[in-house]
Amino acid sequence: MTKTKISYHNFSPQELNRLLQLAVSGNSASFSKLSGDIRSIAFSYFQTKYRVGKLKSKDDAEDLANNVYLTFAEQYHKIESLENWLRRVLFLTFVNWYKRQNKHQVFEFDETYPQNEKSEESASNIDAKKAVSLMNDLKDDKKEILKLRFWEGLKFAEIASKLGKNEVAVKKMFYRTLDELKTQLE
Amino acid sequence: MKMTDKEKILDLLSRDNLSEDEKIIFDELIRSNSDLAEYQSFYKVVAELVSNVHPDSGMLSEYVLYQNNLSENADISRVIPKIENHLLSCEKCRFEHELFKEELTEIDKFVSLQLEDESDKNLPIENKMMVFLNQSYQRYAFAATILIAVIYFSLFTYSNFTTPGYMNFSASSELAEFSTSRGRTSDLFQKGVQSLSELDIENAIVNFEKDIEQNRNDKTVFYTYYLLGMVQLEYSVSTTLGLFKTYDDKMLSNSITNLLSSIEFNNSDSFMNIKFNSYYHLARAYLLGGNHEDALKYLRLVIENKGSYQYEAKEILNEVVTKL
Repeated sequence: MTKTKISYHNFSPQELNRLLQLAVSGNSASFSKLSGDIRSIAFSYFQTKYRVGKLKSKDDAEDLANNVYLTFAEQYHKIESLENWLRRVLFLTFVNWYKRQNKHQVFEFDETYPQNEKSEESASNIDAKKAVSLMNDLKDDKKEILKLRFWEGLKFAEIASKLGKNEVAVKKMFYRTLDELKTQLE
Repeated sequence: MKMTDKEKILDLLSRDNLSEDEKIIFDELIRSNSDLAEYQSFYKVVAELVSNVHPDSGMLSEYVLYQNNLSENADISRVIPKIENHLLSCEKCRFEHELFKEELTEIDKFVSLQLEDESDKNLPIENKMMVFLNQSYQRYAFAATILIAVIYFSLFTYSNFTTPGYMNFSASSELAEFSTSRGRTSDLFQKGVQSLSELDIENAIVNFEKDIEQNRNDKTVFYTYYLLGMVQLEYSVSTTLGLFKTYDDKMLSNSITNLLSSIEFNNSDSFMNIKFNSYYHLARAYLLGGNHEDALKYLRLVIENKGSYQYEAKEILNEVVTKL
Protein backbone atom coordinates (compact mmCIF):
# COMPACT_ATOMS: atom_id res chain seq x y z
CA MET A 1 0.00 0.00 0.00
CA THR A 2 1.29 3.45 -0.87
CA LYS A 3 1.85 5.57 2.17
CA THR A 4 0.23 8.95 1.79
CA LYS A 5 2.28 11.88 2.87
CA ILE A 6 0.17 14.81 3.95
CA SER A 7 1.65 18.27 4.07
CA TYR A 8 0.64 20.18 7.18
CA HIS A 9 0.76 23.92 7.09
CA ASN A 10 -0.06 24.43 10.75
CA PHE A 11 -1.80 27.71 10.13
CA SER A 12 -2.44 29.55 13.34
CA PRO A 13 -6.22 29.83 13.88
CA GLN A 14 -5.66 33.08 15.72
CA GLU A 15 -3.84 34.55 12.74
CA LEU A 16 -6.45 33.30 10.27
CA ASN A 17 -9.27 34.71 12.37
CA ARG A 18 -7.44 38.01 12.65
CA LEU A 19 -7.07 38.09 8.86
CA LEU A 20 -10.75 37.25 8.50
CA GLN A 21 -11.77 40.16 10.70
CA LEU A 22 -9.53 42.51 8.72
CA ALA A 23 -10.84 41.14 5.41
CA VAL A 24 -14.44 41.64 6.53
CA SER A 25 -13.62 45.21 7.51
CA GLY A 26 -12.40 45.85 3.96
CA ASN A 27 -8.68 45.19 4.12
CA SER A 28 -7.93 43.75 0.69
CA ALA A 29 -4.40 42.62 1.55
CA SER A 30 -5.80 40.50 4.38
CA PHE A 31 -8.42 39.08 2.07
CA SER A 32 -5.76 38.13 -0.48
CA LYS A 33 -3.57 36.51 2.13
CA LEU A 34 -6.44 34.63 3.78
CA SER A 35 -8.07 33.45 0.57
CA GLY A 36 -4.65 32.24 -0.58
CA ASP A 37 -4.23 30.30 2.66
CA ILE A 38 -7.71 28.82 2.35
CA ARG A 39 -6.96 27.72 -1.19
CA SER A 40 -3.69 26.25 -0.06
CA ILE A 41 -5.35 24.24 2.73
CA ALA A 42 -8.06 23.04 0.34
CA PHE A 43 -5.50 22.04 -2.26
CA SER A 44 -3.54 20.07 0.34
CA TYR A 45 -6.67 18.21 1.29
CA PHE A 46 -7.74 17.39 -2.23
CA GLN A 47 -4.20 16.42 -3.08
CA THR A 48 -4.40 13.73 -0.42
CA LYS A 49 -7.62 12.54 -2.08
CA TYR A 50 -5.73 12.34 -5.36
CA ARG A 51 -2.86 10.46 -3.75
CA VAL A 52 -5.17 7.82 -2.30
CA GLY A 53 -6.94 7.50 -5.64
CA LYS A 54 -10.23 9.13 -4.71
CA LEU A 55 -9.63 11.92 -7.23
CA LYS A 56 -8.59 10.95 -10.73
CA SER A 57 -6.13 13.70 -11.45
CA LYS A 58 -4.21 16.53 -9.92
CA ASP A 59 -6.34 18.83 -12.06
CA ASP A 60 -9.39 17.66 -10.11
CA ALA A 61 -7.61 18.65 -6.90
CA GLU A 62 -6.83 22.07 -8.43
CA ASP A 63 -10.43 22.54 -9.57
CA LEU A 64 -11.90 21.61 -6.21
CA ALA A 65 -9.45 23.87 -4.37
CA ASN A 66 -10.47 26.69 -6.72
CA ASN A 67 -14.12 25.98 -5.92
CA VAL A 68 -13.38 26.33 -2.21
CA TYR A 69 -11.52 29.58 -2.95
CA LEU A 70 -14.52 30.92 -4.88
CA THR A 71 -16.94 29.88 -2.15
CA PHE A 72 -14.77 31.70 0.35
CA ALA A 73 -14.83 34.83 -1.79
CA GLU A 74 -18.63 34.65 -1.85
CA GLN A 75 -19.14 33.91 1.81
CA TYR A 76 -16.22 35.35 3.79
CA HIS A 77 -18.19 38.32 5.09
CA LYS A 78 -20.67 36.07 6.88
CA ILE A 79 -18.34 33.37 8.21
CA GLU A 80 -18.68 32.95 11.97
CA SER A 81 -16.26 30.11 12.58
CA LEU A 82 -13.53 29.75 10.00
CA GLU A 83 -12.66 26.22 11.13
CA ASN A 84 -16.23 24.99 10.86
CA TRP A 85 -16.75 26.82 7.61
CA LEU A 86 -13.69 25.08 6.21
CA ARG A 87 -14.89 21.68 7.37
CA ARG A 88 -18.32 22.25 5.86
CA VAL A 89 -17.12 23.65 2.54
CA LEU A 90 -14.41 21.02 2.01
CA PHE A 91 -17.00 18.36 2.72
CA LEU A 92 -19.72 19.80 0.46
CA THR A 93 -17.21 20.45 -2.32
CA PHE A 94 -16.14 16.83 -2.17
CA VAL A 95 -19.75 15.61 -2.05
CA ASN A 96 -20.64 17.69 -5.11
CA TRP A 97 -17.68 16.24 -6.97
CA TYR A 98 -18.76 12.76 -5.86
CA LYS A 99 -22.30 13.41 -7.11
CA ARG A 100 -21.02 14.51 -10.49
CA GLN A 101 -18.71 11.52 -10.79
CA ASN A 102 -21.44 9.08 -9.89
CA LYS A 103 -23.95 10.92 -12.09
CA HIS A 104 -26.34 11.13 -9.19
CA GLN A 105 -29.80 12.33 -10.05
CA VAL A 106 -32.12 14.37 -7.86
CA PHE A 107 -34.68 11.58 -8.06
CA GLU A 108 -33.10 8.18 -7.60
CA PHE A 109 -35.66 5.47 -8.13
CA ASP A 110 -35.99 3.20 -5.12
CA GLU A 111 -35.95 -0.35 -6.44
CA THR A 112 -38.04 -1.49 -3.51
CA TYR A 113 -40.88 0.67 -4.79
CA PRO A 114 -43.67 -0.30 -5.51
CA GLN A 115 -43.19 -3.79 -4.04
CA ASN A 116 -43.31 -2.32 -0.54
CA GLU A 117 -46.09 0.05 -1.42
CA LYS A 118 -49.21 -1.77 -2.30
CA SER A 119 -51.36 1.31 -2.39
CA GLU A 120 -54.06 1.96 -4.91
CA GLU A 121 -51.89 4.53 -6.68
CA SER A 122 -48.87 2.29 -7.13
CA ALA A 123 -51.07 -0.19 -8.90
CA SER A 124 -51.98 2.39 -11.54
CA ASN A 125 -50.89 2.10 -15.15
CA ILE A 126 -48.10 4.62 -14.87
CA ASP A 127 -44.61 3.28 -15.45
CA ALA A 128 -42.91 4.36 -12.23
CA LYS A 129 -39.37 4.02 -13.58
CA LYS A 130 -40.17 6.06 -16.64
CA ALA A 131 -41.90 8.69 -14.52
CA VAL A 132 -38.83 9.04 -12.31
CA SER A 133 -36.61 9.25 -15.35
CA LEU A 134 -38.80 12.02 -16.80
CA MET A 135 -38.70 13.87 -13.50
CA ASN A 136 -34.91 13.89 -13.67
CA ASP A 137 -35.12 15.46 -17.12
CA LEU A 138 -37.13 18.39 -15.80
CA LYS A 139 -35.50 21.78 -15.36
CA ASP A 140 -33.77 22.21 -12.01
CA ASP A 141 -36.31 24.62 -10.53
CA LYS A 142 -39.17 22.28 -11.43
CA LYS A 143 -37.35 19.31 -9.88
CA GLU A 144 -36.72 21.37 -6.79
CA ILE A 145 -40.39 22.28 -6.40
CA LEU A 146 -41.49 18.65 -6.81
CA LYS A 147 -38.91 17.54 -4.25
CA LEU A 148 -39.78 20.22 -1.75
CA ARG A 149 -43.50 19.62 -2.11
CA PHE A 150 -43.62 15.84 -2.10
CA TRP A 151 -40.39 14.62 -0.49
CA GLU A 152 -39.98 17.28 2.15
CA GLY A 153 -43.72 17.95 2.47
CA LEU A 154 -43.42 21.75 2.36
CA LYS A 155 -46.41 23.98 1.76
CA PHE A 156 -46.36 26.32 -1.25
CA ALA A 157 -45.78 29.35 0.94
CA GLU A 158 -42.75 27.62 2.48
CA ILE A 159 -41.42 26.58 -0.92
CA ALA A 160 -41.86 30.12 -2.19
CA SER A 161 -39.98 31.49 0.79
CA LYS A 162 -37.18 28.97 0.37
CA LEU A 163 -36.79 29.67 -3.34
CA GLY A 164 -37.25 33.41 -3.04
CA LYS A 165 -40.29 33.40 -5.31
CA ASN A 166 -43.89 34.34 -4.74
CA GLU A 167 -46.42 31.68 -3.84
CA VAL A 168 -48.58 32.12 -6.95
CA ALA A 169 -45.58 31.68 -9.24
CA VAL A 170 -44.55 28.53 -7.39
CA LYS A 171 -48.05 27.08 -7.67
CA LYS A 172 -48.21 27.86 -11.38
CA MET A 173 -44.85 26.23 -12.00
CA PHE A 174 -45.91 23.22 -9.95
CA TYR A 175 -49.10 22.81 -11.98
CA ARG A 176 -47.23 23.23 -15.27
CA THR A 177 -44.70 20.63 -14.17
CA LEU A 178 -47.42 18.10 -13.47
CA ASP A 179 -49.02 18.86 -16.83
CA GLU A 180 -45.69 18.37 -18.56
CA LEU A 181 -45.12 15.04 -16.86
CA LYS A 182 -48.64 13.85 -17.56
CA THR A 183 -48.35 14.70 -21.23
CA GLN A 184 -45.04 12.89 -21.54
CA LEU A 185 -46.36 9.80 -19.80
CA GLU A 186 -49.47 9.53 -21.98
CA MET B 1 -57.76 35.54 -12.66
CA LYS B 2 -60.40 32.84 -12.51
CA MET B 3 -59.11 29.37 -11.71
CA THR B 4 -59.82 26.57 -14.14
CA ASP B 5 -61.40 23.38 -12.78
CA LYS B 6 -58.04 21.64 -13.06
CA GLU B 7 -56.34 24.35 -11.08
CA LYS B 8 -59.10 24.12 -8.50
CA ILE B 9 -58.54 20.37 -8.20
CA LEU B 10 -54.79 20.83 -7.90
CA ASP B 11 -55.27 23.53 -5.34
CA LEU B 12 -57.55 21.32 -3.29
CA LEU B 13 -55.24 18.32 -3.66
CA SER B 14 -52.33 20.39 -2.45
CA ARG B 15 -54.10 21.51 0.68
CA ASP B 16 -53.41 19.53 3.82
CA ASN B 17 -56.71 20.15 5.56
CA LEU B 18 -59.89 20.67 3.58
CA SER B 19 -62.96 22.13 5.20
CA GLU B 20 -66.28 20.28 4.87
CA ASP B 21 -67.41 22.75 2.17
CA GLU B 22 -64.18 22.30 0.25
CA LYS B 23 -64.52 18.52 0.43
CA ILE B 24 -67.99 18.82 -1.09
CA ILE B 25 -66.69 21.03 -3.91
CA PHE B 26 -63.82 18.61 -4.49
CA ASP B 27 -66.07 15.53 -4.65
CA GLU B 28 -68.47 17.28 -6.99
CA LEU B 29 -65.68 18.29 -9.34
CA ILE B 30 -64.30 14.75 -9.46
CA ARG B 31 -67.73 13.19 -9.96
CA SER B 32 -68.71 15.59 -12.71
CA ASN B 33 -65.53 15.26 -14.78
CA SER B 34 -63.71 12.01 -15.52
CA ASP B 35 -60.63 13.91 -16.77
CA LEU B 36 -60.33 15.59 -13.40
CA ALA B 37 -60.73 12.22 -11.67
CA GLU B 38 -57.89 10.88 -13.78
CA TYR B 39 -55.82 13.95 -12.93
CA GLN B 40 -56.38 13.32 -9.26
CA SER B 41 -55.14 9.77 -9.65
CA PHE B 42 -52.05 10.97 -11.57
CA TYR B 43 -51.30 13.56 -8.90
CA LYS B 44 -51.35 10.92 -6.19
CA VAL B 45 -49.02 8.65 -8.14
CA VAL B 46 -46.48 11.42 -8.66
CA ALA B 47 -46.71 12.41 -5.00
CA GLU B 48 -46.13 8.84 -3.93
CA LEU B 49 -43.30 8.30 -6.39
CA VAL B 50 -41.41 11.40 -5.34
CA SER B 51 -41.88 10.74 -1.67
CA ASN B 52 -40.44 7.26 -2.17
CA VAL B 53 -37.26 8.07 -4.06
CA HIS B 54 -33.95 7.87 -2.21
CA PRO B 55 -32.86 10.99 -0.35
CA ASP B 56 -30.34 12.57 -2.70
CA SER B 57 -26.66 12.94 -1.90
CA GLY B 58 -27.15 16.58 -1.04
CA MET B 59 -29.67 15.67 1.60
CA LEU B 60 -27.54 12.84 3.00
CA SER B 61 -24.53 15.12 3.17
CA GLU B 62 -26.58 17.76 4.99
CA TYR B 63 -27.71 15.05 7.38
CA VAL B 64 -24.07 14.14 8.08
CA LEU B 65 -23.27 17.81 8.68
CA TYR B 66 -26.27 18.03 10.99
CA GLN B 67 -25.05 15.02 12.95
CA ASN B 68 -21.76 16.85 13.47
CA ASN B 69 -23.31 20.20 14.35
CA LEU B 70 -22.00 21.71 11.14
CA SER B 71 -25.19 22.15 9.16
CA GLU B 72 -26.33 25.63 8.29
CA ASN B 73 -29.49 24.33 6.67
CA ALA B 74 -32.23 25.00 9.21
CA ASP B 75 -34.73 22.92 7.23
CA ILE B 76 -32.80 19.68 7.51
CA SER B 77 -34.21 18.91 10.95
CA ARG B 78 -37.68 18.57 9.42
CA VAL B 79 -36.68 15.69 7.15
CA ILE B 80 -34.40 13.88 9.58
CA PRO B 81 -37.04 11.35 10.72
CA LYS B 82 -37.71 10.52 7.08
CA ILE B 83 -34.00 10.16 6.28
CA GLU B 84 -33.40 8.02 9.34
CA ASN B 85 -36.34 5.78 8.51
CA HIS B 86 -35.06 5.41 5.01
CA LEU B 87 -31.56 4.54 6.20
CA LEU B 88 -32.98 1.75 8.32
CA SER B 89 -34.28 -0.03 5.26
CA CYS B 90 -31.96 1.08 2.45
CA GLU B 91 -28.54 -0.47 2.20
CA LYS B 92 -27.54 1.75 -0.74
CA CYS B 93 -28.16 4.93 1.22
CA ARG B 94 -26.57 3.49 4.36
CA PHE B 95 -23.43 2.88 2.34
CA GLU B 96 -23.42 6.43 1.03
CA HIS B 97 -24.13 7.79 4.49
CA GLU B 98 -21.15 5.88 5.90
CA LEU B 99 -18.98 7.11 3.06
CA PHE B 100 -19.89 10.71 3.82
CA LYS B 101 -19.40 10.22 7.54
CA GLU B 102 -15.90 8.89 6.94
CA GLU B 103 -15.15 11.77 4.62
CA LEU B 104 -16.20 14.33 7.19
CA THR B 105 -14.17 12.57 9.88
CA GLU B 106 -11.10 12.80 7.64
CA ILE B 107 -11.80 16.46 6.93
CA ASP B 108 -12.27 17.16 10.61
CA LYS B 109 -8.88 15.66 11.45
CA PHE B 110 -7.23 17.38 8.53
CA VAL B 111 -8.58 20.83 9.37
CA SER B 112 -7.73 20.36 13.03
CA LEU B 113 -4.17 19.57 12.10
CA GLN B 114 -3.90 22.46 9.68
CA LEU B 115 -5.17 24.99 12.17
CA GLU B 116 -3.32 24.57 15.38
CA ASP B 117 -2.44 26.69 18.34
CA GLU B 118 1.07 28.07 18.05
CA SER B 119 2.00 26.14 21.17
CA ASP B 120 1.20 22.80 19.60
CA LYS B 121 3.44 23.33 16.61
CA ASN B 122 6.41 21.66 18.23
CA LEU B 123 4.59 18.42 18.85
CA PRO B 124 5.28 15.60 16.43
CA ILE B 125 2.43 14.78 14.08
CA GLU B 126 1.45 11.61 15.91
CA ASN B 127 1.05 13.57 19.11
CA LYS B 128 -0.83 16.35 17.36
CA MET B 129 -3.43 13.79 16.46
CA MET B 130 -4.06 13.27 20.13
CA VAL B 131 -4.91 16.87 20.71
CA PHE B 132 -8.16 16.56 18.84
CA LEU B 133 -10.64 14.32 20.46
CA ASN B 134 -13.59 12.75 18.86
CA GLN B 135 -16.96 13.61 20.25
CA SER B 136 -17.77 10.22 21.63
CA TYR B 137 -14.61 10.29 23.70
CA GLN B 138 -15.49 13.70 25.08
CA ARG B 139 -18.92 12.46 26.01
CA TYR B 140 -17.43 9.51 27.78
CA ALA B 141 -14.93 11.67 29.62
CA PHE B 142 -17.82 13.91 30.62
CA ALA B 143 -19.64 10.91 32.04
CA ALA B 144 -16.51 10.20 34.05
CA THR B 145 -16.66 13.76 35.36
CA ILE B 146 -20.09 13.19 36.78
CA LEU B 147 -19.09 9.91 38.37
CA ILE B 148 -15.96 11.37 39.82
CA ALA B 149 -18.14 13.99 41.46
CA VAL B 150 -19.83 11.09 43.22
CA ILE B 151 -16.44 9.81 44.37
CA TYR B 152 -15.52 13.18 45.77
CA PHE B 153 -18.72 13.71 47.61
CA SER B 154 -18.82 10.21 49.02
CA LEU B 155 -15.22 10.38 50.14
CA PHE B 156 -15.62 13.71 51.87
CA THR B 157 -19.14 13.64 53.19
CA TYR B 158 -18.04 12.81 56.70
CA SER B 159 -15.01 14.97 56.85
CA ASN B 160 -16.42 18.36 57.72
CA PHE B 161 -17.09 17.57 61.34
CA THR B 162 -13.67 16.70 62.68
CA THR B 163 -11.20 18.17 60.24
CA PRO B 164 -9.66 21.66 60.49
CA GLY B 165 -11.53 24.13 58.32
CA TYR B 166 -8.77 24.71 55.81
CA MET B 167 -8.36 20.96 55.34
CA ASN B 168 -12.03 20.58 54.57
CA PHE B 169 -11.85 23.53 52.24
CA SER B 170 -8.78 22.23 50.51
CA ALA B 171 -10.54 19.01 49.80
CA SER B 172 -13.09 20.68 47.56
CA SER B 173 -11.84 19.86 44.10
CA GLU B 174 -12.50 21.10 40.68
CA LEU B 175 -14.08 18.34 38.67
CA ALA B 176 -14.01 19.92 35.29
CA GLU B 177 -10.49 18.77 34.62
CA PHE B 178 -11.80 15.30 34.02
CA SER B 179 -14.07 16.44 31.27
CA THR B 180 -11.28 16.52 28.74
CA SER B 181 -8.29 14.33 28.19
CA ARG B 182 -5.77 17.07 27.25
CA GLY B 183 -4.91 15.08 24.19
CA ARG B 184 -4.26 11.75 25.81
CA THR B 185 -5.83 8.99 23.82
CA SER B 186 -3.68 5.98 24.73
CA ASP B 187 -5.58 2.78 25.44
CA LEU B 188 -4.32 2.62 29.00
CA PHE B 189 -5.37 6.18 29.71
CA GLN B 190 -8.81 5.45 28.33
CA LYS B 191 -9.00 2.28 30.41
CA GLY B 192 -8.07 4.34 33.45
CA VAL B 193 -10.85 6.81 32.77
CA GLN B 194 -13.21 3.93 32.10
CA SER B 195 -12.31 2.39 35.47
CA LEU B 196 -12.95 5.73 37.13
CA SER B 197 -16.33 5.92 35.50
CA GLU B 198 -17.07 2.52 37.00
CA LEU B 199 -15.82 3.71 40.41
CA ASP B 200 -13.12 1.07 40.17
CA ILE B 201 -10.43 3.26 41.75
CA GLU B 202 -7.84 0.53 42.14
CA ASN B 203 -7.93 -0.38 38.47
CA ALA B 204 -7.96 3.27 37.50
CA ILE B 205 -4.73 3.73 39.41
CA VAL B 206 -3.21 0.58 37.89
CA ASN B 207 -4.10 1.69 34.35
CA PHE B 208 -2.81 5.21 34.85
CA GLU B 209 0.45 3.84 36.28
CA LYS B 210 0.83 1.51 33.30
CA ASP B 211 0.08 4.36 30.92
CA ILE B 212 2.90 6.36 32.47
CA GLU B 213 5.24 3.37 32.38
CA GLN B 214 4.60 2.62 28.69
CA ASN B 215 4.26 6.16 27.38
CA ARG B 216 6.83 7.95 29.47
CA ASN B 217 8.04 10.09 26.56
CA ASP B 218 4.66 11.29 25.37
CA LYS B 219 4.27 15.04 25.43
CA THR B 220 0.88 14.75 27.10
CA VAL B 221 1.77 12.14 29.72
CA PHE B 222 1.68 14.93 32.31
CA TYR B 223 -2.08 14.68 32.22
CA THR B 224 -2.01 11.05 33.32
CA TYR B 225 0.30 12.07 36.18
CA TYR B 226 -2.18 14.81 37.03
CA LEU B 227 -5.21 12.52 37.09
CA LEU B 228 -3.32 9.83 38.96
CA GLY B 229 -2.18 12.35 41.55
CA MET B 230 -5.71 13.67 41.94
CA VAL B 231 -7.24 10.23 42.33
CA GLN B 232 -4.58 9.16 44.83
CA LEU B 233 -5.13 12.37 46.77
CA GLU B 234 -8.83 11.71 47.12
CA TYR B 235 -8.35 7.99 47.68
CA SER B 236 -5.81 8.64 50.42
CA VAL B 237 -8.65 9.80 52.65
CA SER B 238 -10.65 7.28 54.63
CA THR B 239 -12.91 7.49 57.64
CA THR B 240 -13.20 5.44 60.76
CA LEU B 241 -16.79 4.49 61.60
CA GLY B 242 -17.79 7.40 59.43
CA LEU B 243 -16.64 9.82 62.12
CA PHE B 244 -12.89 10.41 61.97
CA LYS B 245 -10.77 11.02 58.93
CA THR B 246 -7.55 9.15 58.45
CA TYR B 247 -5.03 9.52 55.68
CA ASP B 248 -3.15 6.81 53.87
CA ASP B 249 0.39 8.15 54.07
CA LYS B 250 1.70 6.03 51.20
CA MET B 251 -1.14 7.04 48.91
CA LEU B 252 -0.71 10.66 49.88
CA SER B 253 3.01 10.46 49.21
CA ASN B 254 2.36 8.87 45.79
CA SER B 255 -0.12 11.60 45.05
CA ILE B 256 2.49 14.25 45.81
CA THR B 257 5.08 12.49 43.65
CA ASN B 258 2.68 12.27 40.71
CA LEU B 259 1.48 15.84 41.00
CA LEU B 260 5.12 16.97 41.06
CA SER B 261 5.76 14.87 37.94
CA SER B 262 2.74 16.41 36.29
CA ILE B 263 4.25 19.85 36.89
CA GLU B 264 7.67 18.70 35.71
CA PHE B 265 6.45 17.16 32.46
CA ASN B 266 3.88 19.79 31.60
CA ASN B 267 5.99 21.85 29.24
CA SER B 268 3.31 23.05 26.90
CA ASP B 269 2.15 26.64 27.19
CA SER B 270 -1.30 25.40 26.21
CA PHE B 271 -1.76 23.64 29.51
CA MET B 272 -0.49 26.17 32.01
CA ASN B 273 -3.90 26.07 33.66
CA ILE B 274 -3.30 22.41 34.48
CA LYS B 275 0.08 23.28 35.91
CA PHE B 276 -1.47 25.91 38.21
CA ASN B 277 -4.19 23.47 39.20
CA SER B 278 -1.49 20.93 40.03
CA TYR B 279 0.07 23.54 42.35
CA TYR B 280 -3.24 23.88 44.11
CA HIS B 281 -3.84 20.15 44.55
CA LEU B 282 -0.25 19.69 45.59
CA ALA B 283 -0.80 22.31 48.28
CA ARG B 284 -3.87 20.39 49.42
CA ALA B 285 -1.84 17.19 49.59
CA TYR B 286 0.91 18.90 51.60
CA LEU B 287 -1.70 20.31 53.97
CA LEU B 288 -3.20 16.89 54.54
CA GLY B 289 0.27 15.51 55.24
CA GLY B 290 1.02 18.36 57.64
CA ASN B 291 3.71 19.96 55.47
CA HIS B 292 2.54 23.54 55.84
CA GLU B 293 5.68 25.12 54.46
CA ASP B 294 5.41 23.49 51.03
CA ALA B 295 1.63 23.87 51.08
CA LEU B 296 1.99 27.63 51.51
CA LYS B 297 4.64 27.77 48.81
CA TYR B 298 2.35 26.19 46.24
CA LEU B 299 -0.70 28.15 47.34
CA ARG B 300 1.28 31.33 46.74
CA LEU B 301 2.27 30.07 43.29
CA VAL B 302 -1.41 29.56 42.42
CA ILE B 303 -2.19 33.11 43.54
CA GLU B 304 0.83 34.67 41.80
CA ASN B 305 -0.01 32.95 38.54
CA LYS B 306 -3.70 33.78 38.82
CA GLY B 307 -4.60 30.12 38.50
CA SER B 308 -8.24 29.13 38.34
CA TYR B 309 -8.04 28.31 42.07
CA GLN B 310 -6.56 31.63 43.09
CA TYR B 311 -9.53 32.61 45.26
CA GLU B 312 -9.70 29.25 47.00
CA ALA B 313 -5.94 29.37 47.44
CA LYS B 314 -6.16 32.84 49.04
CA GLU B 315 -8.83 31.66 51.44
CA ILE B 316 -6.88 28.58 52.48
CA LEU B 317 -3.68 30.57 52.76
CA ASN B 318 -5.34 33.06 55.10
CA GLU B 319 -6.83 30.29 57.21
CA VAL B 320 -3.60 28.36 57.49
CA VAL B 321 -1.55 31.46 58.29
CA THR B 322 -4.07 32.43 60.98
CA LYS B 323 -3.94 29.03 62.64
CA LEU B 324 -0.20 28.55 62.52
